[in-house]
Amino acid sequence: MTAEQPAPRRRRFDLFGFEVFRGLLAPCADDAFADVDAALAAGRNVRGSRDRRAVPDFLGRSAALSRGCSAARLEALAADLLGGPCVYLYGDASEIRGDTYWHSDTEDAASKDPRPADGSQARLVKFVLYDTPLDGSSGALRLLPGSHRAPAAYPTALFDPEDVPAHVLTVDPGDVIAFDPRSRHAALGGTVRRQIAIAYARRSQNAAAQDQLMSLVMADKTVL
Amino acid sequence: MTAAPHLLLEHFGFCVLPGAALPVLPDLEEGFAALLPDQETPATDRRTRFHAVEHAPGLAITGRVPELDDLLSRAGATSMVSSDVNVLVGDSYWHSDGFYDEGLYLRAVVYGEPTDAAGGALRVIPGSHRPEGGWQGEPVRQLMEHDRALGLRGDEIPATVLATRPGDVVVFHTNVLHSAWNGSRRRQWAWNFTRPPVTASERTAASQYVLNRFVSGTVRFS
Repeated sequence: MTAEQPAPRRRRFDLFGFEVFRGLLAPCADDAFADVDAALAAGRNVRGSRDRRAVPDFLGRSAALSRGCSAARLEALAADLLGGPCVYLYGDASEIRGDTYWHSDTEDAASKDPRPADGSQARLVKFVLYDTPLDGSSGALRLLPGSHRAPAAYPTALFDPEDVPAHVLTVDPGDVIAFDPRSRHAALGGTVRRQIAIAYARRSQNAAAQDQLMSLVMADKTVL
Repeated sequence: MTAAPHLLLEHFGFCVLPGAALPVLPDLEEGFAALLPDQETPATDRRTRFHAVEHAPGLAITGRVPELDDLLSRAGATSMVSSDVNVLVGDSYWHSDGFYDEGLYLRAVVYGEPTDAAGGALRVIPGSHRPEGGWQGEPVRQLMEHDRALGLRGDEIPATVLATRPGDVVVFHTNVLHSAWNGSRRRQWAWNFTRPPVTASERTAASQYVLNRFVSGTVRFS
């Protein structure tokens, strides 16, 4: 990448639906994932199945992660990517085993017309980081650039998961992927990995946008 | 990839038929040498010869490459409207070959030299051929001005790189956003196909497409 300016970064996020921040949470990653291990081991308020055990509201349970997000000005980054003031939605941790099939987090809502009558659009961003290096063969997030604008135009279910021509986001611990949860995404060949996910939405400008945001959040399968 | 080529072409705008043209490659080589002899111009110049099949019948591809015939038949794009041979050098910026909401326009290409990400391979943005994908307008402008608008080099745009060997056939929907970077001199054979137009608006679009194929890239009929 060449010179980094806020305007190109927002344009990239608008255009492709993702952005990678190398090393953004590296200062707190080890301590935050130690807290994930402790929370999973304790088993208190852990939900999900063997393939995906999740700790809801993890951000509120990890001082290390909370301090790290403040130091990295994560909410300001969300506002920069979404083009306006944001509200915090959730901050969860998960242990994931194996593959994640192709999907949009907001599958049902995204298949409907995403724009309220006034033309405004609810906007979301999900930040994720992992405890281990990941590439295309070990469970790295892969997505279809631009699919957040029209997820229904990308019928991934017609293909074997590995045949979908995806963009693989290789990461190291501390790297943070920001993506629009409406994007078509998956993870294949996955080893056991821990993930922290923190989501924000642009503050709604009117009742229609608020309704649309609520429907997107309620459709998000990762919201526990 | 093992996905059915016609599904990839329909939904993502491209597919590769590995080695499909190998049996006819000697004929393609001979026809190319006749139309664009090596010593005519400096190796740094891009050169094109239109009406390739008309000038060198050995460059015909339909009826000789079963995988391609099957693909075109499934897509309904059975009418070849033009063909060309090219000596390509350097980069090709992000663009689509015009954008048509109606009709179906496909371009099949074969490269005479191996291509990859570091060596001039065609790269595409999957799904960008579909009008409902929202790529037309401002997104295309930003892609064309990627350095200034996006802070990315052309080869940093997230895309699928279609590495090829001589004899592979790449088929792409001409709406799909595509480019090539880091290329040295490479030979390209190309054939353009369309679905026979049915409606009046499809006939108009087909006429514009044919005119645009025969005119320099700096001029567009719209």
